[in-house]
Amino acid sequence: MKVIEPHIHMIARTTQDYERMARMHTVACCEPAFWAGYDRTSPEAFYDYFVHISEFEPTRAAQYMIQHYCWICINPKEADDLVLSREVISFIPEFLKKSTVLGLGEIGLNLNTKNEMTIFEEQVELALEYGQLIWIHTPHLKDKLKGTRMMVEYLAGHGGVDPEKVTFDHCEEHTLKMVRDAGFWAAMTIYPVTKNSPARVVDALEIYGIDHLMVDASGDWGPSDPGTIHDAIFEMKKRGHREEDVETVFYNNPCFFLGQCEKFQLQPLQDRKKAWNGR
Amino acid sequence: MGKTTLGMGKGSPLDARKLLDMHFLDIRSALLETAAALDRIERAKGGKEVMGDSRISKLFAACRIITDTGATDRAERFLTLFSSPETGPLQVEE
Ligand SMILES: [Zn+2]
Repeated sequence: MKVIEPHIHMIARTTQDYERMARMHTVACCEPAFWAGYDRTSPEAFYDYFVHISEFEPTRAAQYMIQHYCWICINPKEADDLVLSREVISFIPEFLKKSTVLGLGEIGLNLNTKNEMTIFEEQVELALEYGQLIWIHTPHLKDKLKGTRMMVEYLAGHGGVDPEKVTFDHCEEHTLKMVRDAGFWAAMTIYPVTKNSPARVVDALEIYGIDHLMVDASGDWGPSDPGTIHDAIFEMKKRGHREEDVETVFYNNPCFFLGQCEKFQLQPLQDRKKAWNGR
Repeated sequence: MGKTTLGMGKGSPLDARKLLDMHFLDIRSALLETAAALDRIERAKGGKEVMGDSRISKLFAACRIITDTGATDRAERFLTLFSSPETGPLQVEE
C-alpha cells in the first residue's frame, strides 16, 4: 500500500527519516512553511527557507523515491508583525511558480490576535488571486476552538472561497464537525501529547466517514515521529477496516485534494465517488 | 452553520465487547498514571495548596465527563472544557 504524508517538516528531520518513510511505503510528502522554533530576524531568512523547502528538500527526498512538495506562506506564529509579514508576502508569488509548490500554507492563527487575522485574510486573497490551494494551521490547545471558528466563519462568509480547495489541519473532536459542515477538507495530526493519537483519528473516521479527511504526522523539530502515520494505518487495520478504505484515507484522499493543483503528479487508484462508497 | 455533516461514518466494524477487550488494559493504565501523578503532586511540598489550582479543578471536571454514562461525546466535551471562551474580542498583543 502506498502512503502520502500530507504534512511534515522535513527540514527538521534526518535523511534516515526519509529512508524510514520510504521503507514504510511513503511515496510523497508535503512540507508547509512554518515557524523554525525561533523567530527569523529578516525577510531574507524566509526567502532562504522557501528556497530550501522548494529546491533542496525535493532533491533529498528523491534519493528515496519520495516526491517532495511544499506550501509557501508567512506562518501564523510570525504573522503578528505586520511589516515583516507584508515584506515576506511580497515575494511569495515568485515561489508559487515553482514546480513543487502546491499553494499557500500553513497559513492560519496562533494566539488568535487581530494582526494574525489580518495577515491570514491577506494571504487568502493572495491565494485567490493566483488560483492556489490553501492549507490551514489551526491553533494549539486552548486557542484551537476559537481560532478554528474564526477562520471557518470568515472563509464561509467570504463568498469567493471554494471550500473544496481548503484544508483545515490539526482538527480534533471539538473542531472537526464545524470544518466539515462548512464543506472544507479536514486533516487530523497525530502528534504526541498535544494533538491526536492514532486511536482517536480512527474514531473520527468511524464517526464521520472517510470523505474529505486526511491524516498526517506533522513531524518537525519537536518530539514527533513520521512513523505515527503508519501507526494509524495499523490501528485502522487492527480495528477491522477494509483495505480499500485504509488506502483511500492514506493515499487516495491526499491525491483528491492535492491533485486539484496540476503540479501534483500522483494519481488516485479509484475515482472519488467509488472510493467514498458512493458519496 | 446547521448543515448536515458530509458523509457519515459507518461506525466500528468491531462490536463493543471486542473493543473493550482490545482497550481495557490501555484505559486502566492511562487512569492509573493519572491517579499516580495526582498523588505525586499532592504528596510533594506545597501539595495541599496546589490541589486548589484551577488546572487541578479542570482535571477533576474532566474526570466527571469521563464517568458520564450514556454519552458518546466525552472527548469533544473534554476538549471544549480545556478551550478558551469562544466569545470576546480578539486578543491584542502588546
Ligand atoms: Zn506544520
